[in-house]
Amino acid sequence: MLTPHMPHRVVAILLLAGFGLSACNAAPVTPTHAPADKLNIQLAWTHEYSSAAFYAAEKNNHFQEQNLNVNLIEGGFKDGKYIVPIDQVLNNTVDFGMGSASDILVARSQGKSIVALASIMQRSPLAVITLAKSNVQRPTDLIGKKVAVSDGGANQVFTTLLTSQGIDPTKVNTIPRATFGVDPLLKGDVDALVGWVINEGVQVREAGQEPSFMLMSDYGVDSYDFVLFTSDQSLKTHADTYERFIRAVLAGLKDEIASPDQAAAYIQSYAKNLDPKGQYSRLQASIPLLNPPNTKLGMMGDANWAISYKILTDQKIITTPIDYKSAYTLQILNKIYGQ
Amino acid sequence: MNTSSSAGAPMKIRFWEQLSRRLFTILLLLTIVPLVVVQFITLRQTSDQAQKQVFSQLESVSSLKANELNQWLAAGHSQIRAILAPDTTQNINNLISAPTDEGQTHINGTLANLTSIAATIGKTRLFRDIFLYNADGKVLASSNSADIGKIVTRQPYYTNSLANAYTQQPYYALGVGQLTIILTEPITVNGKLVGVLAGDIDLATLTAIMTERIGLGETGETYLVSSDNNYFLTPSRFDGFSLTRAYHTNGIDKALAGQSGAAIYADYRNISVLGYYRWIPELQVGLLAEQDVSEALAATQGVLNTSLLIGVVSALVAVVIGSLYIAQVTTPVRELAQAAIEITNGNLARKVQIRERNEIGLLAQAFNQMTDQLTSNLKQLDLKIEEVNNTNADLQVATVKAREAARLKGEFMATMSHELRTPLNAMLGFSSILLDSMGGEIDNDARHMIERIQANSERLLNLINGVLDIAKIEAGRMEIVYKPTDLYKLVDSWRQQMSVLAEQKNLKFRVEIDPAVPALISADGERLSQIAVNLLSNAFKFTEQGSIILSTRALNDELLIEVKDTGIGIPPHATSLIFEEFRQVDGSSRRAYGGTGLGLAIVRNLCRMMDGSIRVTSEMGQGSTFIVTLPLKPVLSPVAT
Repeated sequence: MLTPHMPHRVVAILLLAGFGLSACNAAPVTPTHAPADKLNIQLAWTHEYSSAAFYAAEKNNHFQEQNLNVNLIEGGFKDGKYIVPIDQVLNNTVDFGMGSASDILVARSQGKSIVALASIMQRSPLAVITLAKSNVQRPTDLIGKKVAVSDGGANQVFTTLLTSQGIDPTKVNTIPRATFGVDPLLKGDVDALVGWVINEGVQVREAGQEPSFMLMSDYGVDSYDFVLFTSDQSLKTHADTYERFIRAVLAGLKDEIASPDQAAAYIQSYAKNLDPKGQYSRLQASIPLLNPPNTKLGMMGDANWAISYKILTDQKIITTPIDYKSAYTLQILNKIYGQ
Repeated sequence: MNTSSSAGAPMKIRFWEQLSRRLFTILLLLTIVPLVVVQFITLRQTSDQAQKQVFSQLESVSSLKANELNQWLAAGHSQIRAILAPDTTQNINNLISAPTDEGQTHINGTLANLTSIAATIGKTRLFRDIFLYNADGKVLASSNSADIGKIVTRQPYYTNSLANAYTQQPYYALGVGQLTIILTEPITVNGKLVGVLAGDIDLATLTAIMTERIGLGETGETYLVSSDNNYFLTPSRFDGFSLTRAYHTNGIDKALAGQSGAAIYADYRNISVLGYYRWIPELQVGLLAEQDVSEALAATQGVLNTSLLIGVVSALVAVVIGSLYIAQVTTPVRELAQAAIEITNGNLARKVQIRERNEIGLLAQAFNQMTDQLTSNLKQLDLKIEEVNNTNADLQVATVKAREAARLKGEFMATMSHELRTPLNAMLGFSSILLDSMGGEIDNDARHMIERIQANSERLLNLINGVLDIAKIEAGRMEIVYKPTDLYKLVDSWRQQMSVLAEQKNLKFRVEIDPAVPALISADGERLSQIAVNLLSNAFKFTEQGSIILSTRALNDELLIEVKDTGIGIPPHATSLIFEEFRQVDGSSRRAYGGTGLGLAIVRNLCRMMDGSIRVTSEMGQGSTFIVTLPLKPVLSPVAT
């Protein structure tokens, strides 16, 4: 950026501006003349509202301020196969991946050295979604009902919900979800489905129906469903770079919460084929999950990790005990928040 | 303005230089500037006043509503506490102390009890829902059966609710999909916490409080904004503004930063409002009371319009009256100017009409008096001029007569001299013959008498010659004849002529001639000699001892002939008189030294005729120096004289 031909005055102004920024911003700014650090992040899904914080960090120059050149890699399916972020991180294709606490705990129990650095969502959006008119309000109301649940994490949490409420899971007719949509619920093929209030919940509303939610977190089954992770090895090597990355992501998160309209426009620039109105509704619905009372942006608490680990061990998904605390680290967050 | 125009032509006055225009401009400025200033001040004051009034109104509404809000919260807490009467608490304790799966009926029994209480409370519309959870956060009973079985440990109020009565600030409840306020009261039995009774407060009452618009005009509103994501806790009165959206305005941001105060800012609709913002610490919310600026300052606009109308009318009246008065002042001035032009052109009869008894009238009167005086002065001047003309004519006649008389005198003198010389020459001739004894011997007495006759005759002849020269000069008959003359020879002849006198009087006589003087000059030698001999004769006449020096010099283009003696000298008062006819320094000198008193007069006249001059310097008892200055006219080719 600075060339030998630049007048000295311009250089002086730029330097002053640089000092000014570093003085104003809590985050240390690396001098701009060093080459930017290149980082790749494997998103969990195709470009959509859930990655809005990353878009804001990129578009509002928070990555650039941290002297980072970040590549946001779309997730989802490729050649009919789901791109597994954990694998991408482990084979060093990317620096970061997005996933759930459950995914990380299971991976660690399988000896995969990955570690969570921050949780984008502070509360789980996972809920048992029913139509309000069906008057299914409590877990006990699900006895004898047909519930569509995705395999994996959602199923584990749902089972835990039932057992924690003293319900025998076999008394509930659980079927695997066949589609991402909510049609089976709307058509009455199922009485309930397990999904995200901020996604399927919105979808029900978009279809003109009033949904009713049994939030997992309202029954104490809270978990981190949208977590940023890396490998133990990378963290050791690039702790400083990764700290700058988390700072930039948190700044993007802050922007998303403060200016959802701007964030919606950014989503649109990444996901041109998605319905803007739908994305905007989902974004608005997700904001309370990002910044609920009594917590900090990106922060993770031990209780949620403990719950997730308990669910996994209770259901014998993890059979070899591990130290669940090793699945996440607050080293960067605590540094950022000065703890 | 160009004031240097010629006196004859009337001055050109450009449009804006006209006095009336200038006065009119000044008048306009004097009326419009104060008008604008007064309007501005009025508007500012009215606007400030209106603003203050609205701010004050908003503040009191805000204060009132903050009170109502706190009362509402207090009422909520007191209702929850009211449920916790001793017997209820005992029931609850029993319930909590034996919570088994089989105890469901037990729970339901208590629940029924609680639900009926809650229903009663519900009539006050204070709570949507009242629920009971144990110390582990498990909801055991609720007025809404859907709540039973929930675990509230993940809820923001849980930890705080275990210690004291607690008001959970509004937070977005995912399951409900909107902001929720929870009031909690811990249940203790024998000092031991057994559970918490919580109320999910119904926001309808709060909304009713906030949407009440008494005292807020047409566009005013009050609303609450939560510090949780800047969501609206109570709805906007305007359509299209969702509760669950982050709102940022100057007022909202300040309130949520814990400040209270009044300001003008753009509200969430981006409409300019007067706002009073207040931080409500009990709920951690901002209370905003706002009114559109357009409405708040509408009264100001009215005042402004009225005062503007009054101002414009006053200014118009002032301008009209002022214009008339300006015309009244400038018309007579123009008339005066016109009259002055006419008078200049000769119409002295022109009079200015005196219309008013004021300064202009005074000016007109003075102008008329001035014209009268001018007319009278001109008449007198005419008379004087006539007189002078008459006198001049007389003088001209007298001059002609005098010149004629002088000419006649000259002619007479010349004739007379000529006629006198003839008998005198005879007398001289015969007396000379007698003295030479050519007429026979004469005795000494007779000789002595004849000698006196001869001497007096010579004197008389000299006098007559002098008079003749003067007469010739005055009659214009003396002529100067220029011809090539050898000045050296001429000077030498003067020396020879005078050296006899020097010897007689035993005086030194020196003759000097400057070698720069050309030998041959164009001159009238006879007249030049007459001048030199005259001056030298005088020098010898008035010098008794010492020396006489004649020096001839050429200086620039002039010939200087200087005669210097060591004689008696001339007193300073006499140096100008001695060149007049018949004047010597005094009568006694004439007797003592003889002479006609005509010599210097002739010399001066000759000098003048030769375009030269004569001057004298003298000191009494030391001697005199006469200097003749003549134009030097050298002759280049030697010509024999």
